[in-house]
Amino acid sequence: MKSISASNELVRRLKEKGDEGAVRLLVERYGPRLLSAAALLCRNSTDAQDLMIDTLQHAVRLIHTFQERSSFFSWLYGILFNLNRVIWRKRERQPLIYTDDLPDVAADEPLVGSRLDTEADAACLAAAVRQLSEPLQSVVLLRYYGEMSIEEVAVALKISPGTVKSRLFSATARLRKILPEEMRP
Amino acid sequence: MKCKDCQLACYDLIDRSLSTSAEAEVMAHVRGCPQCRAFLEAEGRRMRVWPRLLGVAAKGMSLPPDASERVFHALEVSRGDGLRHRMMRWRENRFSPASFRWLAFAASVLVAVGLGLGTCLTKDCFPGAKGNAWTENAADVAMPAIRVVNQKRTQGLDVPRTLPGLVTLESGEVVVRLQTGVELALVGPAKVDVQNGLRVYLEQGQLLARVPHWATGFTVWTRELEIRDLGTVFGVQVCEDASDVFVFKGSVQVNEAGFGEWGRKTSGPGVGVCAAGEGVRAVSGESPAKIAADWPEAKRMFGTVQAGRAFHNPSKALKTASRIADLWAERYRPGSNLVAKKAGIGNGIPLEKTPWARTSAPQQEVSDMNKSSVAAIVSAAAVVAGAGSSGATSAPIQVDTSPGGSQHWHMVFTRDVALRWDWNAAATHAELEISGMDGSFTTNFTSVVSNCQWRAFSPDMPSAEDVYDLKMTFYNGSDVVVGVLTSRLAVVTAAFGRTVVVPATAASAWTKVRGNVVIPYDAGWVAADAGVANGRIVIAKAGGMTQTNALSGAAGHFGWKLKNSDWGCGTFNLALTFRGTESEWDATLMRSADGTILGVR
Repeated sequence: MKSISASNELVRRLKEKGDEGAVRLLVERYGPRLLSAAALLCRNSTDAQDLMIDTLQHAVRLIHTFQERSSFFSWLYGILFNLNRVIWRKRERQPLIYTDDLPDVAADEPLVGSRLDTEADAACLAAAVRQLSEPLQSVVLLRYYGEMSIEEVAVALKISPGTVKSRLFSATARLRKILPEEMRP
Repeated sequence: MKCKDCQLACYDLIDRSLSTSAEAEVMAHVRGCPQCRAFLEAEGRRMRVWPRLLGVAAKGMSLPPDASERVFHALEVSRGDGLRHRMMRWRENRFSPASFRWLAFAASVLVAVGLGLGTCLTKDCFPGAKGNAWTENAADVAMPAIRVVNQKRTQGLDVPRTLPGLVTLESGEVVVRLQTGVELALVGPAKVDVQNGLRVYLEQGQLLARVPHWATGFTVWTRELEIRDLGTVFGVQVCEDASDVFVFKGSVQVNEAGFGEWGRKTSGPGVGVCAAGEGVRAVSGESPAKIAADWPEAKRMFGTVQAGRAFHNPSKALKTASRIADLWAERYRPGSNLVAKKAGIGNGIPLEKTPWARTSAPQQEVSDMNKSSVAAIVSAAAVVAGAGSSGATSAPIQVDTSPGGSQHWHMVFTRDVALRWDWNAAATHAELEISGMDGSFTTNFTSVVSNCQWRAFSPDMPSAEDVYDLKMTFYNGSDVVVGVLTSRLAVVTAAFGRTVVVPATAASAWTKVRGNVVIPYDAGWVAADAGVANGRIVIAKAGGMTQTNALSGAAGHFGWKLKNSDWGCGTFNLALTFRGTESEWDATLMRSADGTILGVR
């Protein structure tokens, strides 16, 4: 309850005055979580930081459009994933050369390796998620990283709940093929 | 209930968003269906385990230090300036001075009919009428025209309070932010005339621009170019008579700079849209060239500075961009002003021993070359010398035998070589002698002819490389020599496609080199190649004979006859020198008993 009222207060400050303190609070409170989500989407840390900054910039400029249909954080997530979608589309048109900071896995090949520890599993899962297409990535990360309900994911991505479920179904089926056997849920 | 419907409903079941009756229906199906039960259990595990795993995977990233600053700027822009920015951009993109006057008239009509917008439109939206909009209203006072965001070892930094104004920097690095949110990293010495938040003129120095999406259309001018942003990070460098543009992220439209009415800069002919990893180099007196980091070395270099990371170290990013442009010019436009005149910005062509090899041809060229190389004879190709003095085996070298890659060598991709000459007026007959390493032949001409065709080798592909000396001797009726013409020609198998020379022991590419060796040389690689017509190559067998051979011209091929010669096997040291240069290229070849040259150190 305290968290909700704090975010409401922050939204009010951003809407009404837009003072520097409110922006700083926004960055401190939501920046790290958005950055973590961006890290799961992007192939290098610089791009992840840029995506996080872009998201917060959009949020600040479009704060008047936030209608409290969802939580403030879900709204921020929605911006982040929509920006990521734009980046994907641009990348498809103009393929960039990436020198990945994060490990990558060849497409269509199951990940190999034994379960050494949680970090290895985590890296393995993240790499597998990065192999998904952007629509599937978005629903997987919102659902399993953002721990959102189907309804919340639908609102964040502005798609129907049915589409969310269908994409989740496809994504998990695809991940079952990519992940090593011991990690398949 | 079908299994697929049940499984999709499982998501809602876990979310507790099903009605009581629907929940009961799903649970009833799950109890009776092992497949759906497994799905529900798997989804439950995913919901328990994956958030934790993804959380671990996402850990370890830190917020950029200027995060708040960058986000706050978005707020500043959204506070009252948005409309003005949009309108200004609109004006800049759409209107010539003539149409501007028309629009000013339309605005005054609006005032006359009492809409009350006249003041806004004429004062804020059309700053050109009064010279500058950025000093006119209260928002500008609260928000400086240019704000210094970051600086490093700066000296002689001067930032104007109002616009238009000149930003000067003697040395060091500074990052400034314009009201539009555009960030400019300047590397001194630099001089930038900031005309407004969406237009700057780079008089001198290096500039890296990071343009937020709402400021798309931001334009940088140089003497040679107009660079219009399409949402990006890009670098611009200007020296005495050249401009470089390089895109690290997004894209830009590059046009040649033009001058319109009242000396106002206008867009010239378009050069093209440059995406990340591409750019333009423009040198006065030469058409701008679109460059691209499209070969492996350049891609690797670009990878270190691409996207937003360019802004983390602007100096490095700009140096890398310059280096890529230099390498591109060396590679694709050797001998042009694009290489020579850029010495002030980039590194130019160094006078050093190591890089005496041409780099590889782009993929497209290779395929074209393969198509056209059913049979080929060329007067040029690639590599031999070039190893440093360290004695270690050098890295693999890709040899570019494409026509565009050869600076001096004229290349002909056919085995039927057309020979042409001017018949000597005093001659009654002539003799053409063609001498190769494996023998020679002569042809006599008893009447006046000025050309012939020579089939250099019979099979479609030459079986061996060779260097030929051609000598046309003209005789008069008394068989007295009245004139001599000479030419040289080399057959190089590498002309039949890109050859990867791996100068290491057991490398397969070198096993092709048996017997005679064709050594290409090209002093045109040396910056000071003016007086290098007379070169020589010294071949010294370890513990054996030494041979000094004169070379003709600054570039060509030397045929080293090893087959059926007295050289035998062993280790050979080659030294290539040109008069007028101090450097010497050296290489070591080993010839094994089976007649194969194994490697070059």
